[in-house]
Amino acid sequence: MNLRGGWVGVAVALVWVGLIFGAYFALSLRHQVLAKLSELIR
Amino acid sequence: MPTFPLDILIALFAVVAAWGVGRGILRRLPLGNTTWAEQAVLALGLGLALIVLLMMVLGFAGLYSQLQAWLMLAGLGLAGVVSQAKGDLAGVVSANGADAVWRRLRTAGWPFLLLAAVLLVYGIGYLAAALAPTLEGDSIAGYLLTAREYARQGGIVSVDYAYTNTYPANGQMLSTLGFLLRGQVLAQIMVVWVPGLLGAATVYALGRRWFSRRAALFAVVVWYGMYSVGYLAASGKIDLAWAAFDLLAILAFARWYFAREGERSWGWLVVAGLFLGIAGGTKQASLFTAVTMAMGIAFKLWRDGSFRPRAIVQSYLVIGLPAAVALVWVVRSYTLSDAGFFTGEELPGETGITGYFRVLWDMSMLGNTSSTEGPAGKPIGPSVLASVPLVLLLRDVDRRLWHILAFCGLMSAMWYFGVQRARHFLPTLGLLSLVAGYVVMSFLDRKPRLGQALVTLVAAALVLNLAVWAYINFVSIQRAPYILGMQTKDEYLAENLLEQGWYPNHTVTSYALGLPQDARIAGLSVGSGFYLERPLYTGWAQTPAEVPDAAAFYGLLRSSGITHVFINDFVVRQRHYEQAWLAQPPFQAEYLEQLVCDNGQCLYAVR
Repeated sequence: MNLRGGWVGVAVALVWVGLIFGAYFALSLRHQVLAKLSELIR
Repeated sequence: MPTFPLDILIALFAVVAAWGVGRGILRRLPLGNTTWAEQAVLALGLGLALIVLLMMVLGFAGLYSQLQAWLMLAGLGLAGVVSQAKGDLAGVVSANGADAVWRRLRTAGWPFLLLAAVLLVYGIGYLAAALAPTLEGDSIAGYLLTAREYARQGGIVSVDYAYTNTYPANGQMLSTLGFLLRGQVLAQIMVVWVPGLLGAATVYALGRRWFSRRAALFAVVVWYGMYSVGYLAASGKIDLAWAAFDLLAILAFARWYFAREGERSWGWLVVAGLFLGIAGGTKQASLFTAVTMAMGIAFKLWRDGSFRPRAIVQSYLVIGLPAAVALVWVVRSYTLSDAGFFTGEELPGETGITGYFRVLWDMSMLGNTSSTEGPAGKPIGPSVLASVPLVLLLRDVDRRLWHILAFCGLMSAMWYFGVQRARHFLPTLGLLSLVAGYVVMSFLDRKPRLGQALVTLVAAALVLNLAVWAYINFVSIQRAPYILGMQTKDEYLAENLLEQGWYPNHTVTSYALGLPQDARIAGLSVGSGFYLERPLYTGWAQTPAEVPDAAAFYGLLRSSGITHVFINDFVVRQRHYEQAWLAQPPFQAEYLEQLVCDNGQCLYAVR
């Protein structure tokens, strides 16, 4: 294992990457949905 | 018939001429060994820097003309050919040969083929965006406006209705060349697409030198695929030209900084200074790069035990003298406005320690200025934020990485107290993309599954970003019919200006073409008068609280030489100008004569 913290390090990396990309895709989706909704309402 | 092939051909000729002459200069500099990637970007960078300097001299001398532009380019091309004839062109061709590229593609794993494919699509998309007249606000209110006027008036003149009039204009030297040689599309290619590719190639050259080919490729895709870069690619702004020259300065400085004591060539500092001068004369944010480099020089001299007055003065002079070329624009700015620098202090931004992290988060998500700069902001995407902190989990990290991160840290601190926009941070984002590349490649080597997951997520984010960018630039704005020659420029503007409520619409711009050449139009705010073809002076939003008498305000208009007035109801509503004299119907009835009105936009003649 050449990561700091062994499997804990892997877990930390997974959580961090998941958090950032999860937030990005969720926010993008929300933005697209809101944009579509506002277009429909208008 | 589409006309873009000719624009691309001329741009290609300019690039080859610049590269040829740049290679000749490069060979005469005492720089030691260089990789082919470094040679390629340094040669093109030096050639473009020479074009910028020549255009600056010719512009201040008032010698611009189409003939001059072609003669200059032909001269550079000839100089390039002569210089290549004396050198080892065969070596360059074989080093860049198709065989080597194919061999590398065959041996690369799927993650890299995926990234290379995404990069190719971005490059073609950005080129296509540059092939139609831009509708980007800052470009048509300032950057392209000044360049077009320089070309029309035969020199660098004061364009007092462009908001960029007093800004440094090295970037406009490239777009002015495009206007002189052919027109707006070539100007956009020269100031946006070519420098964008040069910036991306410089990130690659940096990564190739200090890390690995794979890390370099990853970094290039992440940097080039940022929405902030994509936004600029569809504009006529100068930020990508700035980023390319600033990155070249960083590349040269890094060769000096990371060289062993005794092997350090002063030639690299000269080259860094020259590129810093060109970058600083394009956008003054290079001052941050200069300050950080100055600290780097002091640190290196101290570490080597040569922190003595003579060595200090020598090092700073070697980099500072060529960089001083940027001061030309500072002096011009003082002569025009009594202010030499753009501080951006009136722009909204975050404050405090938590604000620093908020700006990084927002910039990585949907953009940190979504409220003021459009619905999607201009984000950089999540890849840098997701990857760079993982460096803390790696053992046996290349020591240079910490120096690069320290450089980025200092740059980000200064940027935070300046203008908090991604486009003011592009060179540092290039370095951070390299760190991200290093981290992801380390994970691919050490934890392949995790590394592959990271590459897949980055590619997914890039594809999503590309989809949004393509929708905005090819569906919301219909560029394809113009590019393919199915529409004239007039038809293209008629269709697309309808959607842009902030800008003068096609009815108004068409009418304005018939106004006298010396017409001067007053507006409330939001210039964007590029397609009006007549000067649009903004800032005429005075209310009775400022000028109590209608007759006095009318007198002010007349004494300023204003002949016409443009009122856009959309802007009046958005910016709350209802109280302004120009927006009041009684004032309009008494002092103005309506010429044309369409879709809430009216053009008047001053009685």
